[in-house]
Amino acid sequence: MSHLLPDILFYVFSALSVAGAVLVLVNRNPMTCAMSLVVSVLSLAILYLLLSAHFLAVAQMIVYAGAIVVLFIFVIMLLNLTDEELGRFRFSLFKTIGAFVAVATLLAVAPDIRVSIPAPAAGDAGAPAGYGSTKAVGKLLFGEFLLPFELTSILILSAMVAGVVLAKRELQPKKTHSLVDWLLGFFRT
Amino acid sequence: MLSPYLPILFQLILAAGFACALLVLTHVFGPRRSTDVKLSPFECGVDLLDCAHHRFSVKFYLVAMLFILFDIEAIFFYPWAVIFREEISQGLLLLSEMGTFVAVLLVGFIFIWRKGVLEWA
Amino acid sequence: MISITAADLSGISPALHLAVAGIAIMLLDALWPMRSKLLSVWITLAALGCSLTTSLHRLTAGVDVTLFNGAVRMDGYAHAFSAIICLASTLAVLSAPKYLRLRGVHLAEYYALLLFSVCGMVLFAAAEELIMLFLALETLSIPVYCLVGFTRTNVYSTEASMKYFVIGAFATGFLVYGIALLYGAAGSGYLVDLRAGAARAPGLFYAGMTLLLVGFLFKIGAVPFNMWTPDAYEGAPTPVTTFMAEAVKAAPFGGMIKVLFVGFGFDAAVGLWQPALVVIAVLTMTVGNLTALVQTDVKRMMGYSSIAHSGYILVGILAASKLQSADALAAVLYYLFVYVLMNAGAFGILILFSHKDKDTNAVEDLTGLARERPWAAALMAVYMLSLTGLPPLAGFFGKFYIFSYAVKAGYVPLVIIAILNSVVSAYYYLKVIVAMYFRGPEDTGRAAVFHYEGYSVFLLAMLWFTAWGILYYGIHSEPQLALARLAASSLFATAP
Repeated sequence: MSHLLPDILFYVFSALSVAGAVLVLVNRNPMTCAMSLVVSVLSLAILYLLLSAHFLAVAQMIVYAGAIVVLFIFVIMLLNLTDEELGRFRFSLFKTIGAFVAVATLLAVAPDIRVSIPAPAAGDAGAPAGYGSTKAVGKLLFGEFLLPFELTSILILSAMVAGVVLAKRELQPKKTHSLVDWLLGFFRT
Repeated sequence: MLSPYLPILFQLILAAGFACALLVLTHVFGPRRSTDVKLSPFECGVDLLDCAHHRFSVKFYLVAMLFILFDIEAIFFYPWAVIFREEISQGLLLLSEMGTFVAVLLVGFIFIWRKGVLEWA
Repeated sequence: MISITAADLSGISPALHLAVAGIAIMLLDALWPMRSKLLSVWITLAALGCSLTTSLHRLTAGVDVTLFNGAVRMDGYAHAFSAIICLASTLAVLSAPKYLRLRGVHLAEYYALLLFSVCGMVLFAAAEELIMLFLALETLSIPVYCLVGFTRTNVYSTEASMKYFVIGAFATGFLVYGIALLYGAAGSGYLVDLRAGAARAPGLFYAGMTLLLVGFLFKIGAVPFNMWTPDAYEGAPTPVTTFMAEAVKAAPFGGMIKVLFVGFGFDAAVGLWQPALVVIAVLTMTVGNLTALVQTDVKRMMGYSSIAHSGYILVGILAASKLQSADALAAVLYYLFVYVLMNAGAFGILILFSHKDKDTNAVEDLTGLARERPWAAALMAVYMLSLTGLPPLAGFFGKFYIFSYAVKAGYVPLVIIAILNSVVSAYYYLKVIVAMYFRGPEDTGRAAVFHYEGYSVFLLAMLWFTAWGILYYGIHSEPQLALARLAASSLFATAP
């Protein structure tokens, strides 16, 4: 029983995540797509939990389900497309080619999936102890991958500036304070 | 393997069951007197003016995007906090690593604050 | 835990200067908006100059260090790319202030974004690991998406930004998927370990390699992944187009060549990328040049021409991989250096004559330039002839070296196609010269008036430097080639 439950959960949630992803593709209504994406993303989080990758699961829920899908929904509401604007689903040559490429990639990749597991998978004792845990992620992030981690801050910063530049109505401040004014402001108020 | 999660499962079942039970119970026992007014979308408050599907201002979008960026920043604190005690011998290094990261984003915060992005008008 | 030393920080100082300067500009703009614009130009130039001299100095000194626990490697190759990119960005920055002021968008954010992007570019050529590679590429791209749409009230600029962003994000998706599959196949993200994946899990490896290549080819604008290039070039403010045509063009090659040579290697069993690139190179050269023929807008034409030049560079990369010689790779680096000069100059002339409300972009707009402004016309002629590849200009030697190594590598049909393409390209480059020198108001029916509205000392310096470089470094190419050889041999030292 104790070995069966993870297996059952794995199949249920993989099926859910694939189903969610397929629904994102085939739905015409963007809001339904976003909700299907939530299903897919949350199922993936459960799969990460089953792999004992707790940090990844939490990040998946907080960042993807919690924040990014919310942003998607904001954009959908921002555009608020009507059914006429969305148009109907049409088959086209490129979509057909795309589908073929997707299937071909899947077929090419499928036989090798087992190889990519870090240690030979034998029951539950497959991965080394602590593999994928928050602690292991932390040690990697602040040790081996320190430079990518610090670069992330520059990346986030430039995304911030880019977003402000493109979306802020007035970039030139109307009344400009100098640094001195700004510092004095603390004493005035 | 999954036994630590059993309490969470029970809690989830309890929460879902409680919510469902309440809905069912009110449905069964509550009196229902449907009138036109009661069936309108907003029973109390202002009369329905027009369709609720308005285009949102881009301001919401900007705030949502900034929220995500700081959300991503915050998520990195988890692994940092988890290893900090264990690697206390290198505490200063760890502190400066996170300090640099936060300092860079603090500049971003000062930038958006001084640019007036946080002001709604 | 692995410790970080001062050597790590000093090793990546070319990238560090840029990041710190970018952050400083943001802080300055937030706290002292009155004076931030002019100051940020100077800060940007200083940071780029520091990085450029540091890179050049370390390149000649033969510095070769692996830093941050193997995430990046600042060797001759990385320093050479850093130097080319910093030079290109300096030229782009010199052309910007006046134009942006004309458009009313002279903001400090421009320079901060540009510096962050350049920081990503420097790290991209230095990355030794897939996560680092990905993050550097994103840091490189995201600011550019915004810069393209920097003139926010201009519909074309916004549209170009949107297109570039959506297609770029799509390409990134391919790249990340490729990275995931390669990591799965090799069990490691380090470039030197990737090759092992071909035997371990061939399906994953080749699928990953294909997807990664697709991501790279998007970034360099190779056919069939080129559709964003002309629109983004045309819609972007001209100084941004300058930046895109030189720095954003050269930088992806840095990471791409490294992944191909160090990551995948030349082994026939692993080197399936070579035949694929042959086809892509032929398509890229031909489609780029043929579509450029019918363009009437110089910026758009240069967009297609940049696609064609990507094709020539791919030929050089193929030759270097076949010969496995540092000399052949040095030819590619030299070509990139020359390409930066030619493009910066050509767009600089367009900026020089841009008006307050509209750009001077159409070929027709340049009609009769030689009579009114003979010096500007002469400079433009130098850039165009060099792009065509006429001796004794630098553009000729760039092409000459690449093609001769390709012949040596046995890619004769490829070289014949490339030379035919160069001949075709002469038509559209010379079209500009014909308009400037051999046509006048009587041909177009409207009198063209040329005012130096975009003039600034910065721009003038940039124009004269590029023209001098094209004339000088063509004939005296040996010192540049020697530096390039130094850089290329450090890459081959790690390649299998």
